[in-house]
Amino acid sequence: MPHRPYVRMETLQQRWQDSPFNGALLGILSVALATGVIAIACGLIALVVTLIY
Amino acid sequence: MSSSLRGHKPVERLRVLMGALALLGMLGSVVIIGEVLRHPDTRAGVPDEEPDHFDPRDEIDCPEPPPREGQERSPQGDTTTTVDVSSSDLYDCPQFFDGRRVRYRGEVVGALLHRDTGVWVQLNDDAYAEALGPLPAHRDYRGGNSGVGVLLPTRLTAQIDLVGGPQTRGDVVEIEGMFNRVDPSGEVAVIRAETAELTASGEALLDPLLTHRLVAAVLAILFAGGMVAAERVVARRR
Amino acid sequence: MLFRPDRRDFSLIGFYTGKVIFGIGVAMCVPAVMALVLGEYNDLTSFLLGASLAILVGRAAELFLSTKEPLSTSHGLATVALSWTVAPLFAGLPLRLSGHYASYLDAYFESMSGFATIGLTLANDLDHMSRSVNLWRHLMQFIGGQGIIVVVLTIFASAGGRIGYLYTGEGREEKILPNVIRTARFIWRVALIYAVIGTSALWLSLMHAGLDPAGALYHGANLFMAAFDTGGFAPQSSSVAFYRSTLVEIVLLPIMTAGGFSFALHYQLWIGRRDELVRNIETRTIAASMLVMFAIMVVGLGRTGTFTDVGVMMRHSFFQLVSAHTTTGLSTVPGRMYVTDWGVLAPAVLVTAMALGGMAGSTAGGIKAMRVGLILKGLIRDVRKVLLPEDAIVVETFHSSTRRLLTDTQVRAAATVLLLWLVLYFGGGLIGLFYGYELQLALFESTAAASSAGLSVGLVRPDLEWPLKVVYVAQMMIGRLEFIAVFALLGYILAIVRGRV
Repeated sequence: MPHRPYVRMETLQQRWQDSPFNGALLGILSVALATGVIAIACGLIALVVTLIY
Repeated sequence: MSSSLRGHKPVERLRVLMGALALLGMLGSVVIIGEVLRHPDTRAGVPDEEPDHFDPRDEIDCPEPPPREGQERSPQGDTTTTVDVSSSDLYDCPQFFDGRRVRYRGEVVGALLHRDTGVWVQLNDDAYAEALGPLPAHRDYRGGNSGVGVLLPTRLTAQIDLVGGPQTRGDVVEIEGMFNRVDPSGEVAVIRAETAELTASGEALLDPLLTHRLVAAVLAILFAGGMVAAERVVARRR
Repeated sequence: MLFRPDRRDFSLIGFYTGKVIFGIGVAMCVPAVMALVLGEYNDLTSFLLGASLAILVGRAAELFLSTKEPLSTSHGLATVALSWTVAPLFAGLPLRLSGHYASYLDAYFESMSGFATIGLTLANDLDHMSRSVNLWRHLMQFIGGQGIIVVVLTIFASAGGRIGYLYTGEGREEKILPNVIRTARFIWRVALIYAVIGTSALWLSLMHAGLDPAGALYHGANLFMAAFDTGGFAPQSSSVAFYRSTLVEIVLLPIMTAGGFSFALHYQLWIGRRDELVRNIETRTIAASMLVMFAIMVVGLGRTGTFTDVGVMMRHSFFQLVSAHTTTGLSTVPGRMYVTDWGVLAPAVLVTAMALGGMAGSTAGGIKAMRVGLILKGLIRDVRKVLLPEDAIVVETFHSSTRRLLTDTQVRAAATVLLLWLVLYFGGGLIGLFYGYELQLALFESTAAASSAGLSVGLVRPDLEWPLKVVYVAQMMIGRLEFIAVFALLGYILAIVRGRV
């Protein structure tokens, strides 16, 4: 049997997808995205209001 | 599953009463232990200063009324004379003191936060800062802390040695500077100090080991250990 | 059929409550280790004493009340309520012994505030408090926050139709994962991984703010627990304002948001289903209410002239609103200033945000976005019914992990619970009025206590009248346990009192 010094990309990708750290990264990015989107929307509102007042 | 479906095992009223009493007794013992093992009062017998307790029901006596929607804020008054203020003055009447030169004295607590623009410090002027000293050395409870954020020029912080915290009374510093309701840096209700003078040095406080509490803890550990062992033995037998 | 608990019921409840108390005792060993390392020997003995007593009681319950009977819904609820009543007594012992609490009631209040992730504090001289005791305050938020999630998603959710209606208002039996153990494990995994990442981010930003590495780690860990479990205790009396750092506030914002998200949503996000953020009824409700309330808030602040610079206005108003809506309670502005400098409209918006609260199945309190969303959808459906021809069949759906049908029962249950919440808020406010506090202050503080938000205008303070302290403690517990667990416990107590045992 030939010696396999490396792991297949597909296995690595599968391992990463199944790992909790991938889940955590996806989770954190999603939370940050949600917060950022709302913050930007609120920022625009604040801008309009300060222009009025 | 409701008890009626699996054969009701009634409990005599006496047992219910004893069970309730046992529960209350156990909880009461915990409270009693807490009361008995407290720190001794080092200020026992010292005459009390008139307590200056903050009460939100008190009328705020401000030269100007609080801001209201649709009303213009009052223009700045005299900003040349320096006014002696406390933290409660500043929080009760922020509009009145906005942009004025103030003189404020307080204990350095927490940490010195060095920035490019200076050093941020929190100066507390509550009773624990000077009059009474920090807890738990005494039992004169005066509520929470009260203080103001101050931006000190870096050169003025060289005189600060001790920062107040656990078991430490911090240096007391008197500053003069401009109070800003909303500071250019974006902070709310802070003073930009121009001068600072150390008025009292802080001190590290001793909290001598309370032997009665140590003894109680050792006894409790032994009892708990015994109970854990007993439970393990009975569980293995079951 | 009358409710007649018997010996086995009491044994079961006592047995499981004992397990919770035992757990509290073990948890106290963490600050004990810190006290040992830092040389805070009197607090070390307090924690060892408290831990031993809790472990003693817990093991005694295991020994004398041991049972293999399964836990039914009513047992589970009563256990939760009894645990929540008894645990703060044990947890409050090291607080009382720290010398920073004027009475045992104050220490009990603080512990309840910690476990229920409220954030209202009765600590005297917090800025001189020992580090181990301060850590315990924050750790209680973490334990209580994660604990209530596990309880909600296991006991409450597994009850299905029986209490599901009253709890979530929509009778769903869904668990995140097929069984209770896996659900609990997932919750802890999320919490711990977020703890590592969140604490690290805060550590770096606090060092940038000027703290030394050890101090930054200590403050970072405590702030993380306060933000992620939407607690609101802070290591310093000036809360987040102490750090004078926009960066720290920016890092805290997504942590608070994560705390306001339900663990069901976290699971969806972890498996990569980001579209859930947009389709979920609760996220939509919260997003809409955030935008509307923010607009009203900044209009109020603009009209009072509180802030004139858009960046500064955005910084403080957005942080405060997120803190209120997620019912965290951290603040960048001294609470007194809400009354003396923020006008009337902006504080009113904060009260409303606290009252509405976060998502069901998160550590956030309040009425919950799910109920608000369901009621609004019900309203839309009813309006459509009126406008369409009489024999038209109107069907409304909502999305929560999957698409679901909106039923009358769900809307009615949500409205019932909304009413209970309003009674709780106004009831506490009325009692505050009785003691002479202004309506604005009384309502603010009552809502803060019941919704678990914990922002304060200064009403809750160590010399607060003791009956009001008791009222707020009750509000904190009832609000945290969403009424139903408290009703279950009262049912058992009433049965005892009436002799029906």
